[in-house]
Amino acid sequence: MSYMKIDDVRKSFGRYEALRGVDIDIAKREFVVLLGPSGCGKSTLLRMIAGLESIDSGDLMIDGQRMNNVKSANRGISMVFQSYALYPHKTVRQNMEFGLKVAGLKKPERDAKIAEAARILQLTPLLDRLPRDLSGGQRQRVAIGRAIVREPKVFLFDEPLSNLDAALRMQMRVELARLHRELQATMVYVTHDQVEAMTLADKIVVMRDGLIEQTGNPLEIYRRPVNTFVAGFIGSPTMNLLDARVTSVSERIVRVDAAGLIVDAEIDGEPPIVGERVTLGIRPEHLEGQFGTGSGPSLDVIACERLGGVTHAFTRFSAGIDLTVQIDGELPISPGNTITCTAHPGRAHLFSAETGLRL
Amino acid sequence: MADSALNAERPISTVHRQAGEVINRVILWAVFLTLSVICVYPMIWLFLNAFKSTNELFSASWALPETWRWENFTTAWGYGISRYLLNSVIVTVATVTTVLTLSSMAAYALVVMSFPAKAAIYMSILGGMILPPEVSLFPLFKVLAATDLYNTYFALILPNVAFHLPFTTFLIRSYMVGIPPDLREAALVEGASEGLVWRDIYMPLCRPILASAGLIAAMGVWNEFIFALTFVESDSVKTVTIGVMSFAVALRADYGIMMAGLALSILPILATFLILQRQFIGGLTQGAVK
Repeated sequence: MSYMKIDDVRKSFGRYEALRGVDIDIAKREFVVLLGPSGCGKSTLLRMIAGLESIDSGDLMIDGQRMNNVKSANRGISMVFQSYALYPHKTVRQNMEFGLKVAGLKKPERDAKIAEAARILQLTPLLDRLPRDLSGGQRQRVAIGRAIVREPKVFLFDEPLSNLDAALRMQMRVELARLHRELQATMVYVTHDQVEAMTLADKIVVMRDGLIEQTGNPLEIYRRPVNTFVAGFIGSPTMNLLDARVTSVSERIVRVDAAGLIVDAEIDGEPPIVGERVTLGIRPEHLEGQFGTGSGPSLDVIACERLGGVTHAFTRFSAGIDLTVQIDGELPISPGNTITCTAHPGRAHLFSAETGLRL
Repeated sequence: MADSALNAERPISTVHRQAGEVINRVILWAVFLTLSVICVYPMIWLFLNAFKSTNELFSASWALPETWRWENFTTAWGYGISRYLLNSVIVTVATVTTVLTLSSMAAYALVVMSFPAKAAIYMSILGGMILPPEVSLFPLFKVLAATDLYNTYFALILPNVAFHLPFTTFLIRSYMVGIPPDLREAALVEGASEGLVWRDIYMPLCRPILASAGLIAAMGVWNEFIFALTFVESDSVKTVTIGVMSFAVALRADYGIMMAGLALSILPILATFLILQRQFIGGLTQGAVK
């Protein structure tokens, strides 16, 4: 039973179609992440849920009620903005109090709610400060606090962590996950950062050009991307997508050859015919690189990213095709070296060369 | 070879540049000094002569007063300047309050809302700036007479409000454009009405520009002459600009007291300006840059 339902929602700005028919079902207490590159319509969709943009066609239902023409304030939502949107002239307490005052709550009630939110977010000592006297992370927490006090049915987050530095972003990710558990709330979260999506989401909705490309839980999307776009968007470093030719087919297992890299891949749909051109998708972490002569093709290392535990080697085939390989961080590899690589069995993906869809 | 030639030239060009900067600065200071003498001297002259007797004023008008005649001020005050000052304060405060309220509302709508013909409406508001008050004197006079507003405070307040709205709206709008729209949206999501967002979010954040725009309008209203001359006639509503004129006529023989009256008439606005001059300049540049 879906708690929030987005049904064939569309939106145009003049001639530009920002959303071209979007359907999403969201269950109660689910953490849904809308993920996609800039301009894919994810923020527009969030703003439509919030009531900040009108809905051209389609339906938005929250808790069984059609919300298309309901004012923002009456939709039972709270929104955390990318810029935090804290009122600069109000203290932390006044920032949190504003919505409660508008809703007509009495002072003791307001104080109790603010005290509770401040406790959850460790804001109690900061209640009388102005936003300008707070650090980025603290401001972020105030913005969340302002959303919490209103006890909404649905929380909306618009890229809330994008203004924070890397360390703080990680810390806030953990905070948000904890908050989701503690509040047992339904959350819709917009981001273009696939790490945030993978770590926070119960369900990821990958969007592109106003359409949904794939909906599913994070691991499902990582393991079975439906097309080359999703395959390339999820995972870091990005999946290698290579032109390949089918060399043999036996039931669900298809063997392909991509410039000398021979890979077996399992397919779901109709098997391709031998000799057909396909796109081979294989993640850097599913390739095994080693020095010396192995069974695979030899690769020239162009650049290395050492992360300590692992190293990402950006390499090039003799045929001029680029391939990223993740190798053991202990291996003393450097640009100019030659390595060979083989693929982990059963981890490759095949896509149609024409449509880009998963085979 | 080429390198050493470049290195050899560098100190000379630096010296030239520094000399140029010094000369520039000297010229700049000289110009500003001249300008400030031109602006400030008449005021100093006025204040000095306000303390003199008529004879002394004519015999030594450039000198410091022999005795400081404070009684000139009390006499001038007694001649009715107090009433004119009060009228000016009433007209200025009422005009500025109304102008700031209406302009900030208009600016808010122009900045955050979308409605048909928005640009045309903004342009027509700005168009008010090119209309000289003189051309509307006669029609305004007829309207005021027909509505029984002639010779009341409203006869001064309403036209002044109308003529200060365009520039004030322009200034406040320029400032409001810089306020992040997220603040309004956050407030709307929290249930605030547009009116509440205007009053509770935008107005407090616009305080600097409201001070500047208010000051600019206040100066204009305080010094306003032509409406004050045309739309009121009794002493009970005359503002200080006209009051001082009739005062000068009445005191043709006593220049010291007349100077004291003039000094009194500019004191309130001068003091306000000196206190708020930072806002005044800030307001003008904000309007200019954005």
